[in-house]
Amino acid sequence: MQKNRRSLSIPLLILCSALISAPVLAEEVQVSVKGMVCAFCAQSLKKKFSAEPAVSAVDVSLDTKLILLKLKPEPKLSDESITKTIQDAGYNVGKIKRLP
Amino acid sequence: MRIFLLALLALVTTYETEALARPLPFKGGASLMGVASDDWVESHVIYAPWRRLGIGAMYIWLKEQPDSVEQQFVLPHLTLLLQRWNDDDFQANLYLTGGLGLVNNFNTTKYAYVLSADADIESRRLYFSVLGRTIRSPDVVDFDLLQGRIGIAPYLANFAELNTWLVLQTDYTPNRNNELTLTPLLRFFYHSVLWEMGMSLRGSPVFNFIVEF
Repeated sequence: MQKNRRSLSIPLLILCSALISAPVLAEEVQVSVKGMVCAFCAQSLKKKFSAEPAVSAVDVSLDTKLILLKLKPEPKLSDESITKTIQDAGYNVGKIKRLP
Repeated sequence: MRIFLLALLALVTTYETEALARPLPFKGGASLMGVASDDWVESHVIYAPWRRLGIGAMYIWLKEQPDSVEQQFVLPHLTLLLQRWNDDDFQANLYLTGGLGLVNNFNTTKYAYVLSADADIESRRLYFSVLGRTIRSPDVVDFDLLQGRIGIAPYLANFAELNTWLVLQTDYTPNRNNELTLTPLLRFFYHSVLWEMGMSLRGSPVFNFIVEF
C-alpha cells in the first residue's frame, strides 16, 4: 500500500506543477458586423481594435461578416466596449459570442 | 504638374484616408482624398470628431475652358452624415456638406460657398453613388455638378486581398459644357492603398490616389 502511494505521488506532483504553471488560455470573441461590405473601409475596424490594450489579435472576414478578437487575460474588454468601437467605426453589431 | 503635386501630397500625408465614396471617416479619424484630371484637381482633408460630423477643407483648381483663366477655391466645410443603413449585405449612406471660403479668379479673391449632397449604396459586388454639388461666388462663378457612379466587382476579394472594381462615372456640368461626360475607371485597393485610373470618352485622363497610414 505504501509502495502504491509513493508510486502515485510523483506523477501527481508533476501534474500539479504543470497545472499551476500552465498559461491562462486567452479568450476569443466572435462578433458579427452589419454593413461591413468594403475591405478598404473596414480597415478602420482592424485599426481601432488593434489599438485596444485588451486585444492581442484581430481577424476580419468579409466572407463570414465576422470579426474575431483574441483577447489578453488582462485587462477585460466588455461587450459594451466592443459595441461602441464598432458603432464608432460606422457599423452595427449583430451578435457577440465569447468562445471558450 | 498639379496631378503630380496632388499625388505627392497624398503620399506624404500622415492621415488615415477613406475611399472616395465615403466623405466622412470614422469617429476620431481623419481623411485625405484627391481627384485629378487635366482640367480639374480637387483635394479634401477632413477630421471627424463625432460619428456623424466632419470638419474639413477642400481645395479645387479648375479651368473653365481651354485657355481661360484658372480658378482656385479654398473652402472650409462641415460634412454631416444624415443617415446610414447597415444591413448584413449592404451599407447605404446619405451625406450633406456645406462650406464658405474663397475663390481666386483673374487675380482677385472673393468669397465663395459650396453645398453638396451625396448618397451611396454598396454591397460586396455592386455600388451606386450620386453627388449633387453647387459652388457659387456672386459675379465670379456658378458651378454645378451632378455625378453618378456605378461599380461592379468582377470577383469578391476578402479583407487582405487585392480588390478590383470596374466603375463607370457620369458627370453633368450645366454651367461648363452642358454635356454629359462618361468616364470608365479601374479601381484597385489593397490593404490601405486605393487608386483609380481612367480616361473619359473625351480623352481626359483621371487619376485618384489614396493612402491610409
